[in-house]
Amino acid sequence: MSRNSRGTSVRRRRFVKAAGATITVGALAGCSGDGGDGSDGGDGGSGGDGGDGGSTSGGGGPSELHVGTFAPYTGPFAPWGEAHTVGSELAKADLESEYDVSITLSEYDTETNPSAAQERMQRAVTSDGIDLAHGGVSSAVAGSIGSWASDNGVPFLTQGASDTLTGSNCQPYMFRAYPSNTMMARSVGGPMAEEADSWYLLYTDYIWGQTAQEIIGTVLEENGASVVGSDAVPGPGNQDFTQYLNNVANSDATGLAMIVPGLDARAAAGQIQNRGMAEDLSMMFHQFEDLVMWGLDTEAASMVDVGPTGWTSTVEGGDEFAQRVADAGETDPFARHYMAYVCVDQAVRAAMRAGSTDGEAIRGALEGHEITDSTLNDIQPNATLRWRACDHQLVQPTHLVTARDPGEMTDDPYKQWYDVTGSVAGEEVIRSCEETGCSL
Amino acid sequence: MSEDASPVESIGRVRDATLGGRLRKWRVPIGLLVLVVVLRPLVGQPFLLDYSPFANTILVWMLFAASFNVLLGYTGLLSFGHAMFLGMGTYGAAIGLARLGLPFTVSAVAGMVVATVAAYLVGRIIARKGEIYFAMLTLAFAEAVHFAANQNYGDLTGGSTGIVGAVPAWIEAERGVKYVVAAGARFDWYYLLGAIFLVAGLAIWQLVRSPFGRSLVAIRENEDLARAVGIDTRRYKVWSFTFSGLFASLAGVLFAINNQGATLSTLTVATSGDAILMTILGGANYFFGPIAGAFVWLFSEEFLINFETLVLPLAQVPLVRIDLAGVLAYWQFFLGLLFVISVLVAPREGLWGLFRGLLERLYGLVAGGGDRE
Amino acid sequence: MVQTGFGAVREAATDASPAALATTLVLAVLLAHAFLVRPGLFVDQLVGGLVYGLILVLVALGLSIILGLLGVVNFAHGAFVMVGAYLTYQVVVAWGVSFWAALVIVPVLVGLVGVAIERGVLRFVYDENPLIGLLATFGLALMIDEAVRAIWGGSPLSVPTPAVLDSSVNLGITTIARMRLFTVLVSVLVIVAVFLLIERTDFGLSVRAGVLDREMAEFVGVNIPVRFVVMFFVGAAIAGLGGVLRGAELGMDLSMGNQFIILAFVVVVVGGVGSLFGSVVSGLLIGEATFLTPLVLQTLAETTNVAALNVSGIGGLMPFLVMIAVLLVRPRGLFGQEGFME
Repeated sequence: MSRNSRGTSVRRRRFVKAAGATITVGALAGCSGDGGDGSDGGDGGSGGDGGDGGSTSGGGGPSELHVGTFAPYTGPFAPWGEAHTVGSELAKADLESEYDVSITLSEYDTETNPSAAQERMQRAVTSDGIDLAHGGVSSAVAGSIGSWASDNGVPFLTQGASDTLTGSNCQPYMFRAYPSNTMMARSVGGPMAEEADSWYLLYTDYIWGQTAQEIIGTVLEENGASVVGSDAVPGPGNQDFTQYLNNVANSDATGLAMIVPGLDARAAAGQIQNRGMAEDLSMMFHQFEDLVMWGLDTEAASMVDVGPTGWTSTVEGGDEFAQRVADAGETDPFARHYMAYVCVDQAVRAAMRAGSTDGEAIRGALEGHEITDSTLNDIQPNATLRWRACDHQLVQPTHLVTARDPGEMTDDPYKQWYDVTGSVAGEEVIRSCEETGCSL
Repeated sequence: MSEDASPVESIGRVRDATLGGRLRKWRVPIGLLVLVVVLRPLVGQPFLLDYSPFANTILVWMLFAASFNVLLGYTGLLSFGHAMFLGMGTYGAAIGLARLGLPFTVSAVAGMVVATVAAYLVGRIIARKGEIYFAMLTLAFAEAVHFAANQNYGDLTGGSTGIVGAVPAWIEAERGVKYVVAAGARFDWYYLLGAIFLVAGLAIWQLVRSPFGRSLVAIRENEDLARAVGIDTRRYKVWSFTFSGLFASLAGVLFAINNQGATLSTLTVATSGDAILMTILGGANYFFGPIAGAFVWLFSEEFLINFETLVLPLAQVPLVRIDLAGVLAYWQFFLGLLFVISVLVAPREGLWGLFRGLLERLYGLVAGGGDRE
Repeated sequence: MVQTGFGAVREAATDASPAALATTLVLAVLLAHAFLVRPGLFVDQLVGGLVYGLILVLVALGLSIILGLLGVVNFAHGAFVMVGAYLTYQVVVAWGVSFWAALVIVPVLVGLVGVAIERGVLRFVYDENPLIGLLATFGLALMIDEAVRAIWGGSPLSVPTPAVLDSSVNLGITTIARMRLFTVLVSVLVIVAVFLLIERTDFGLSVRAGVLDREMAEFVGVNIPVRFVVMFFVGAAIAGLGGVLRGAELGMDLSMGNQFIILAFVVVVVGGVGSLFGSVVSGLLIGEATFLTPLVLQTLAETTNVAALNVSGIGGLMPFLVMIAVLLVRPRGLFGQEGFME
């Protein structure tokens, strides 16, 4: 049955709508309702709120921005929603102190359902008047929202990881902040081959899992290891891995790759632990997220031998940011906090550079832009961060994590259970522009 | 016609000839027309949903529920898998457009043909089964279709991502509002959608009031008796299933335009469940029942999630403020309660039946009880 | 109403048509082939399928009781399982009660919820079209879903299990997680207990009499409404117990309700509405089909070198394929009775 959303609309926007403000793509972003009438003053901070903050008279850029966060707040990915919100709020705080801008954040529940998410996006843009959108953990959702947003001139920065988002489904106004599936698979293939010679791949039967499994299989073979078996597992939302673990136990695999998202991975890890299989196998968890393992005891959580991720709290330079996240929210810092911060930060900075939130303007401001002047550079000091023009992928390092010994896993001041054993620069593993299949 | 006409018949004919009578006879077409005209402005009111494009979504679901009711309300068959026809229409249109490069109308027709044929075949396989077995089998077939779509055979369906950005050439979208651009004219997509809805609604109406439709009702009321008077119940059930699938796939095609593509969610059990909910909530006995049910369900969902404070009596003159944000987030609980009550009290009447009953009683009061049923 | 199984099996075997025999032969060959190619894995999956099947039986048994004995299509049954799982969380995590105590307390609580529903809603629909009951419980399931979401939130939860149930035990031919083994034991106990209750006690006799001819039974002094309430309690409690076990093993989330009602219905329908024995057989059948079919297809693909045979993810679709196959051949399920629910 359809689940509801937590869309908290900004009711004042409705009066702007009802007052006859028409929204057209061709017009400048200022007409999307931000600024222009004092009643929208929201949270102070926009001194001398002159006219419509989005005209091309550049200058200081828009003085008011409404950003929509699209994340799963219900369903099997529900714990990820809060991370989006907290990350966004931290970015907002930093941006508001650096620029003369007032940012309003609205949450929209994607329910991990592309149709529902698209409805929310339509409403957010048409009725609530958001200027910028970000989010989307599930790539199906991200693709659906992104396509609509681009058709309607709205910039959208996403965290979805499937290759198609910067590949066959790339969109003119959609930008992707997470390393792509290929980037992660290529980064981890070598270390995996070093860990074990023969791997069994268990992957969840949807696009993300299916593509990752193919790429990882190829990369393993390129690195001299072999794939002895691979099974499609139902999900996301599946917790029963018995028969697939039976398959693994009966094969000669020395390594097991769990290409399984979110809480399915947690359930699988629990079952692997219960069967005592983790002792004999090298374990890889694709697109690793700390949050998944925190729900288990430290013994089970220590089974992770290698896992590629976009960010974790132990990445060099990230401790200050991690501390802020720990203070701000309920969940300890992990990849999604960082990624949400990246999206909001980059979207707003682009708007400031371009002087408008119009799709084309943001596109121009981001394509080819190397991030050197942002707070992000403090969080990841030794990384090259660059928005590639041909497919809108954020070129960034992929970090490879491994679990600490249970005794060394600390919860204070925030959970640090995993260490970074290496980082692979984005340039080394990113697909070439032709390979992506994206034509922008 | 003949001298033997009974007094009841004569009265009936006289009644029909009056204005009230004619309005009554044509209430469905009139109702549909009024609905299409009024829905969009109504939904767009600032104090209601303030988002007129939502009317597009409502119309499509209304059509889907109406198609479902041909099966449930008129034939008395419960299906748990109706979403598969919706999905086939959606995917047919999207695949033709995005993967095969065919013009939209061709893809849409192809999708509808596939769905109708599938409905016919499935109907033939399962028509003879008992109630609960029939229902479960529809579910099984729907799950199989969902599975096939997820497998992404030949890279046609796009698997769990679905097909993104499949829009007919004659549709343009601007910041959330869709326009039909053809032959120099440019008008809101809603009007074309409304016209198609009207035509489909009239087709369904004609179907159910034809002798075919009456036989369906006979089957619903007492299948053994219907068989005894010579109705080939199996054949009628199969055709009922087929027509139901046909109109559902039409709804699917329109859905594809609304959502600019196809997603797996159109093939899920939840979608089939929604059809059942809307139809029964609205009232399975009436033509407008499922239509009303779809409206209430969707409207409530959009309205109540954003509803935070109830200010009485007016926003400008606030006397009482009730903070409902927490409670109304669980609106499905209350609608479920309404649903259960309506099923217990008057299972086939639903909200629409209740509404009609109220209207009739009001009319009776006003008109002074002259015209008895 | 309640079939004694072995007579039915004997009947089915002697009535079998050539087509049925041929199908059985083909299946036997395929299974033997799979066993020969991957014996160790075959045994693992066989046992795994049995375990899963018993879990399905446990979940479906309550539904079958309510359906077979009371003639009510309880669409809220999956919700009972989910409530059982979440109440386990509440009892164990929030109130700090031990898991073993929860094993007894929670089913009772769920049983009471069932009774409330029976008295409040279902007793008005006993004499009506079964469709009414189905729809009413459908609405109730929705309400329960939302209520659970309101009380415990949208995020999946989990429950710590006692140490003795963690890790696995080696049975020689296969290794099985202790929690699963425990679930199997509980399922078997419950099945036996229900059988004894219905077939071997006076109480069960009076319930069966009441189902066959309610008027007559009441005439001779049997208090039918009370018995119906008790049986509904039993059915709901069993569902709750299933929820406890499933929740303890795999955690709980909001999709449990819908997931389990569908599976429970498939099991009951395949077994034949009105037959408890049928539900047991079909649960085991579906469990084995879910676990063994991917293996059979995989070994077949290996031997014949036709990779397309190895359909990925077919396991999840198996319950439905089994249902279609069985209902095509036996329109009333394996042991269904004519005129029941039709």
